[in-house]
Amino acid sequence: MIDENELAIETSDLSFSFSKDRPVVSGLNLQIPKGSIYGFLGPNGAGKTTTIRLLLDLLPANSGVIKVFGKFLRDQRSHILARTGALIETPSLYEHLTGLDNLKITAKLRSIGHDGVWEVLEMVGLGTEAAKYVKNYSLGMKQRLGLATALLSRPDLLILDEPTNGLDPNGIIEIRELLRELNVKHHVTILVSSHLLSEVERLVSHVGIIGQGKMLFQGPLKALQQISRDKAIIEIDTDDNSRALEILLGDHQPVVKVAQFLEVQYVEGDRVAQLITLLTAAGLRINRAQLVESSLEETFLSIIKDDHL
Amino acid sequence: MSLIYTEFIKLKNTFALWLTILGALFVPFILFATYLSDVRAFVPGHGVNPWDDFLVRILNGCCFFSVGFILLIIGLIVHVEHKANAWKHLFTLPISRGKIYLGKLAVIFAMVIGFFILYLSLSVVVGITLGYAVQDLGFSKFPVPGLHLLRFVTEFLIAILPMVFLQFWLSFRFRNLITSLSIGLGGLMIGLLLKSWEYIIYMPYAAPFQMLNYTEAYAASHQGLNLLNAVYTVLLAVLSYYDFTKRLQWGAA
Repeated sequence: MIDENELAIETSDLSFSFSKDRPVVSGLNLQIPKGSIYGFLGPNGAGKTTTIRLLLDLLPANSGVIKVFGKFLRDQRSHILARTGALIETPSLYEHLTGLDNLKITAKLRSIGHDGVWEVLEMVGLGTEAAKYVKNYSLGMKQRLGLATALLSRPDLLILDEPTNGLDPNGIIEIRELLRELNVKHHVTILVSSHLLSEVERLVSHVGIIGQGKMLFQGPLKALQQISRDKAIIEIDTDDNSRALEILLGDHQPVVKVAQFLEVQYVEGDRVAQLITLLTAAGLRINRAQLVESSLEETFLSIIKDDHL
Repeated sequence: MSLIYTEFIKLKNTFALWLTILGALFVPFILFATYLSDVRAFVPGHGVNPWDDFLVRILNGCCFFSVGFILLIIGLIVHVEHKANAWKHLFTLPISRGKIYLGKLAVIFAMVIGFFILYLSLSVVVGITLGYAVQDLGFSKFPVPGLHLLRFVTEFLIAILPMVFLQFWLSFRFRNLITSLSIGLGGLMIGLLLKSWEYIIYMPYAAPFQMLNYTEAYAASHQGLNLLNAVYTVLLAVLSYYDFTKRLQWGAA
């Protein structure tokens, strides 16, 4: 359990439904540590965007409590939103205006000066495109402008819903670098949602996996990596698998499956060599000994899949 | 103030601004052309004030045409947010929803009042220009009936207030501009077609047509109607404000 003072966002039993018989978010307990980059993951329709909208007070929760920086959202909405920048799905842009005018509107409403506007434009690489009408921007440029709008207030908390939508691989890398820089240099806590772990895997420090409105896994990325490691197995095929099984069980090895070949749970670094030595010493011929690791993505998918079963 | 300033930035390069100007030009220009095309038909009898006849045309034109333009202006101002998918962004800013509602409404009123000022000023300019261009029309022999115009525009604004609030409500309720506009224009058509029916006054869209052939005696004879409009205005303002700030699930949009 993390100290509540160390949390940027904390929800308790957060629930929401558009209709009585169809809960979208159900008893959600989010815990996002201050200074973290929190990957909020789940398949399409899992409740990520709805949760984000609840966190931004765009939707009223049916029940539960939301605290941001230790303050109740219900009571201190303006104070919390003043410290938060957000980009929800497609950026909200006035296409008949220039990029600069779009930023000026938000800047004016947040009492931010002209310098601040140019600073974020440079930050997202749109300095030279500021005078262009947004209708002439590419999808990637629009996404960057949306991000610039979210960054205008120099927020302590940045909430980004699928921010790399529509970006090419280079754009994705640039945004990732920018977010990392904001997190490291400016200590901005970032909540970034995605339906692909691979997209945020190299960015996040913490992960929350949501499925059908419920939290399926939450914790540091390392914890997810540990689960992934725990799922690794060694596949062994010998000229006499029945005897090999007897030898392995006799040696108290964790055999998890016996089929055309044997599967032994992988526990530590030199376990493959140990097993080969054990079996060859008993006179068996090893046809195949292979370490099969579960990728993080597979672990993520298996967590989601278990929820659907 | 910054909220209202940003609302005007949003109107840059939009049709709403042009519509306010072109809409206000429309009737005065048509009248100008009509008077010049058949001068003899409009030369008044001896001692007759040509402004009286001219004003009836101008003010009836206002009752008939201005309301349609106003519905379109309201629709376009609100549609800017729908089109940009910007409500969700506005509501994640540290500004209360009430202020956003009032800011939008202030711009709508600024545009509507601007429209009337432009419309009536242009009408007066047309009358004066006609007076100088064609002396026989007699406009230059009589003073501009400014007080009459002021009284009309004040009463007209009061009369259309319920319609403005209702249309504003419909415009933010329906994402599709055509939907809200169709309801409004449909309401105007019913209000015009049934303008003599005694109960039509209970329909906000009918109010402008109750002011056709406006005379000085109108105000005295329509006190009850003014009271009804005031009640409607308060009711629609409160309900639309409540709906905007409390009920609408902006996140679902």
